[in-house]
Amino acid sequence: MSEAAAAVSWLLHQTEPEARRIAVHQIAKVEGREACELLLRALGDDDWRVRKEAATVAPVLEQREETVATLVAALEDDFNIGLRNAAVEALVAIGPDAVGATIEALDRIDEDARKLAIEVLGGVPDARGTAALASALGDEDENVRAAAAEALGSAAMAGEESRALATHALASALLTSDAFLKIAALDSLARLDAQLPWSVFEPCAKDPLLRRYAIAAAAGSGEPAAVSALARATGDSSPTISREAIVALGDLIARGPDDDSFLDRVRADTQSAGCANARRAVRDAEDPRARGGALLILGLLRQEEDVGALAEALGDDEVAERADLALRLYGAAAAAPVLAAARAARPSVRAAALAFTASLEGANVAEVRAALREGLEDDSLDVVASAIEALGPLGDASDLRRVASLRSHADERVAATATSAVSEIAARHVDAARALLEDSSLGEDPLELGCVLLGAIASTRALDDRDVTLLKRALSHHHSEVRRAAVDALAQAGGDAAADAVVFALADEEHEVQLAAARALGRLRRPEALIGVVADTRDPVFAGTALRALGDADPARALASARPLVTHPDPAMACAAVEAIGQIAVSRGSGHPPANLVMASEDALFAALDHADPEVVKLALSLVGAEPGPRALARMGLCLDHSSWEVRRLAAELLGQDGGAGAEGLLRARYDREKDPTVRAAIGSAVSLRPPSDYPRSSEGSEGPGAERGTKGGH
Amino acid sequence: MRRGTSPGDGTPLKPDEYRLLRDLFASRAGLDFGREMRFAVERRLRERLMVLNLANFAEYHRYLRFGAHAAAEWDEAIDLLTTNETYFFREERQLRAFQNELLPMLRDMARPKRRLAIWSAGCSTGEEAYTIGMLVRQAGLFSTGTGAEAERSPAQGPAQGDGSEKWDVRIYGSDISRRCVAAARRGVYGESSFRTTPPDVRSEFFTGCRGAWQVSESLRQLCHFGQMNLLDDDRLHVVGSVDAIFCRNVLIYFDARARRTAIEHLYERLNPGGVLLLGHSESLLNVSTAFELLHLRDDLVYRKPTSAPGPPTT
Repeated sequence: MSEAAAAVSWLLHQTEPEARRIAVHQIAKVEGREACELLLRALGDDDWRVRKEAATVAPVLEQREETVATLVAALEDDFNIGLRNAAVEALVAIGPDAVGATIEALDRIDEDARKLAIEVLGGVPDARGTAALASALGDEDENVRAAAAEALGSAAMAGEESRALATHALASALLTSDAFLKIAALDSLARLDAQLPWSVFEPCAKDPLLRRYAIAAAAGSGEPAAVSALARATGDSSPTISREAIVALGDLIARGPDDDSFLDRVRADTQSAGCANARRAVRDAEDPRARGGALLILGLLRQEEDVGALAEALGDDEVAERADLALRLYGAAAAAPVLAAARAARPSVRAAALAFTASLEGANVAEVRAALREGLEDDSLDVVASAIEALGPLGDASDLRRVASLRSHADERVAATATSAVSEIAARHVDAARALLEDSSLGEDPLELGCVLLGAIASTRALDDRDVTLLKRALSHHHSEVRRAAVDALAQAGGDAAADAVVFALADEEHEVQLAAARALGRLRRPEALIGVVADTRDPVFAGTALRALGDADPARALASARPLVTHPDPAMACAAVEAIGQIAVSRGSGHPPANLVMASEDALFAALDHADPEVVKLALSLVGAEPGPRALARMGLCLDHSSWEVRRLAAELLGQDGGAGAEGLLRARYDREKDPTVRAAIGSAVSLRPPSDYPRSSEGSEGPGAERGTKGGH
Repeated sequence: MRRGTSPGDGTPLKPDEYRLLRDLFASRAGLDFGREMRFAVERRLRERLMVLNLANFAEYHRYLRFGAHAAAEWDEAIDLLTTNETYFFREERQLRAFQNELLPMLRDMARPKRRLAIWSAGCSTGEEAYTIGMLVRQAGLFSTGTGAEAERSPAQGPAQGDGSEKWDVRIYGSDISRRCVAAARRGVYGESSFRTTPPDVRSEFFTGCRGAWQVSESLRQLCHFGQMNLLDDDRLHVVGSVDAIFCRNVLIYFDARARRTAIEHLYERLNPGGVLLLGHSESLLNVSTAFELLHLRDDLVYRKPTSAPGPPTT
C-alpha cells in the first residue's frame, strides 16, 4: 500500500467521524486502484456525513472508468444499504460518464440494484439515460417500473427531445393497470409540465387513487375540458385534491389573465364548494402556493365578501403579486371595498391598497383621490408616501398645494416623493402651478419649489424670459437643493441660454449638483463639456453620469469616450463605461442607433467580458445577453467557463432565456463539466425551459420567450 | 384586462437589473431572492430611486456598489428588504419544549459558572428575544436577584435553588436591519405582536402606553440588541459564547452557500452541549455540520457535541 493510501486508511479507522470525514478529502491524492478501494470504504462508512463527503469526492478521482465500475458494482451490495445509496449519489455526482456503464449493468443486476441504477439515470440529465428509463417502464419488477417513471420526471433537463420522449413514454404507462406506476407517471408528467390532451388524464381523474395526481398533471393540458375539470376539482371534498386543483388553476390563471374565454370557463365551472375551499386556502399562511392560487380564483369569482382577504394579501410579499392580479381580475368594482377594508388594516396593507386602487383602470377617480388625500394624514409614513406617490399621476390642481407642503417633511422619503409628485401634477395643471409660483408664503425658501414648478411647466410649454432669469438666479443659491432643482428645470426649458448657464454647474462643489448638470447637458445636447468631464474625472459616478448624458447628446462620441474605459483597472470606472455603452447599444426612444454603432458597442462590451473584476464581467454579460445576436451567443458561451461561479450562473440564465438550439448545446456541454452546485442548478433549469409556444403568457412574459414554468410536485 | 398606469411604472425593475441586485444581496447578506420576489423587491426599493434621484434600478445597483454613501444606503436597502412581521410566542410548541426540557438541561450545564447566555439570531423587531426572556422568567430556574422575582407569575411559586444562587442571564438579539434593532430597543409593540400571547402574560411583562404596549424594565434588562450580519464572522465575536441559539425562519432566506457559512458561525459561538433551535420548516439536511440531533418530547433540536471545543476567545 502506498504511503498516501496508508495514511488515509489509518484515518478511516479512527473512531471519530470527523476524522474520517477529513480523511475522505485525502483520497484524491491517492493514485491507482487504491483510491477506488478507499473510496468504497468511505462510501460504506457508518456515519452519514462521511458517506456524503465521499460521494462528493468521487468525481474528482482521476481513474474515472475504474471508479465508475467500482461504484456500479457497489449497487449490488446486499449488506450495506448506506454504501449502495452513497454509490448512487457518487455516480450522479460523476455525471454523464457514469451513464453508459449504468445502462449496461441494467441487463445483469437484480431488481434491487436495478432500482438504484434507475435513480442514477434519473439524476444525470442525459438522452441515453432517458431512453433507458423509458424502456425500464416495462421492467418485470414493479418497484423498478415505478422508479423509472419517477426518474423520467427530470428528463427535461436533458433537452426538449428527452422531454418529448419521456412524456410519450409516461403517457403510455397510464394505459397499464399498474396503479403505482400510474401514480409515479402522473407525478412526473406534472413535473414535466406535459401538454397532453385531457383525454389522457380523464380516466385517471375518475379513479379515486389517481385523481389527485391526474388533477396536478392536467394543468399542463390547457384544453377547455381540463380547465373545467380543474375548476370543479377545487370543490373536491378531499383537501389534498382541492389543494392541487387550486394550485394548478391558480398557475393557469396567472399565465393567461387576458384570455377571456378561459377566465369565463373557470368562473362558470368553479362551484360554491370550490369557492369555500379557496377561502380556506387564502387563510393558510403555511402554504403560499395554495394561497396564491386561491387569491386568483376568488378574484375571478368577484364576490364582495372576499375583497377584504384579497386586500389583506396585498401587504404580504409572498403573495402580493397574486393578490394584485386577483384584484385586477375582480375589476374596477374592487376599488371601493379595497379602500374600505384597508382602513382597518396594518400600514403595509393600507399603503399597498392606495397604490393599487390608484392604478386600477376604471376605478372611480373621485373616490380614489379622496382616499389618497385621507392617506396624507395617516400615522404611518409608509401610507403617506404611498398616497403622495399615487397623487402624482392622479392628483388634480387642488392637490398641488397640499402635496407641495410635504416637500419639507422630515422624512426624506416623503419629501422626495412629494417633490416628484409636485412635478407631475404641475406638468398637468400649469395654471395652478403658476399660481403657486406667485405664492411666496410656502416654505422657508420658495425658490426651490419655484424651480421644481418651472421645470414641470417647461415640460409642456415654453418658459418666458422672466422664468429663465429666475432659474439662472437660483443657480447661485447657497442651498445645493435649489441649485440642483434649477439645473433640472433649465434642462427642461432647453435652448442655448439654458445650456450656457448649466455648463458652469459642472464645477459646483456639491456632487449632486454636478451630476444634475451632467444629465442636463445631455438633454441640452452639449457634448463638448461632457467629453471634458469624462476625460478628466476620477469619480466613477460622475464619469458614468456624464457618459450616459453624452449618449443622449451624441452616441458616437459617447462610445468613443467610453470604449477605452471598459478595461480601466478601477472596476467602478469600467462599470460606468459599460453601462453607458449598454445604453447606447439598446437606445430606443426617438429611433434605433445605426448598425455600425450597435456593432461597435457590442465589440466594446465583449472587451469588458475580459475584465479581471467579475462585477464588470457580469454587468457586460447582462447587457450582451439582453438581446443577443450570434456573436454574442459565442461570447456568452465562453463565460460559462469563467472562474467566478456568479458569472457562470448569469451566463447560464441568459443562455437559457435565449432558448435556441445553439444556446442549449453550450449549456449541456458545460453541465457535464460544472462542479458548482448552484451553477449546475442554473444550467439544469436553463435547459429545461420550454420553448416559446402558443400558450398565453402571464405578466411575467417580459422575462423573455423562455420564461420558466418551474417544476411542480416535489420541487 | 389591462393593468392601469401605476406610480413608478416608468421605473420597473427589469429582469437583468433584478439579477444584478439579487447577486449583490446574496453575496453580501446571504439573502436569497427567487424569481417570485421581483415584484416585492421592486415595490420595496422603488422609493430609494426617488430619494436618491436615480433613473433606474441599474443606477441603484451601481450606487450600492460604488456610491459615495454606499454603506449608508446598504443599511437602508437591507432595512426595506428584510423587515418581516413577527409576534411574541411564535411556534409555541417549540417554545414549550425549550422552557420545559431545555432550560433545566441548560441550567445543569451552566451551573458551575451560573451564567446563561441565549442568542436570538435574526431577532427582527425583538419579539423573539423578549419571548425568550419571558420564558426564562416564567421558568423560575435562574434567579437574577434584580427584584424581578417579584414579577414572577404566582403559578410559578418561588424560584428554584436557594436565594444565594444568583445567575447572570443574558439574552442577545441581533438582526441585519438597523431599523429592526432600533425597534427592538424601543420595546413598544402593537396588538398584532400579541396575537398569541395570553392577556395575563402581557399584563405581567408589559405596560400599556398610548394604545401600544411597552416592555417592562425587568424584561428589558435581560435583553441586549445589536446589528449583525450572520455572514460577518468578525462582528459576531462580540456575542461571546452562548448556551442556546434561536435562528428561526432566518436561514430560509439564505442560499445554500450562505446557509452553510451562517451555520458554521453559529456552531462556533455555541458552548459544548449548547443547542440550536431552527424554524419548524428548517433543518440542517444537506448541510455538512457536526451538530447532533437531540430528540425532545415535543421537538427536535440540534446540539453541539459536549466533546467539541468551545468558541474561540478572540
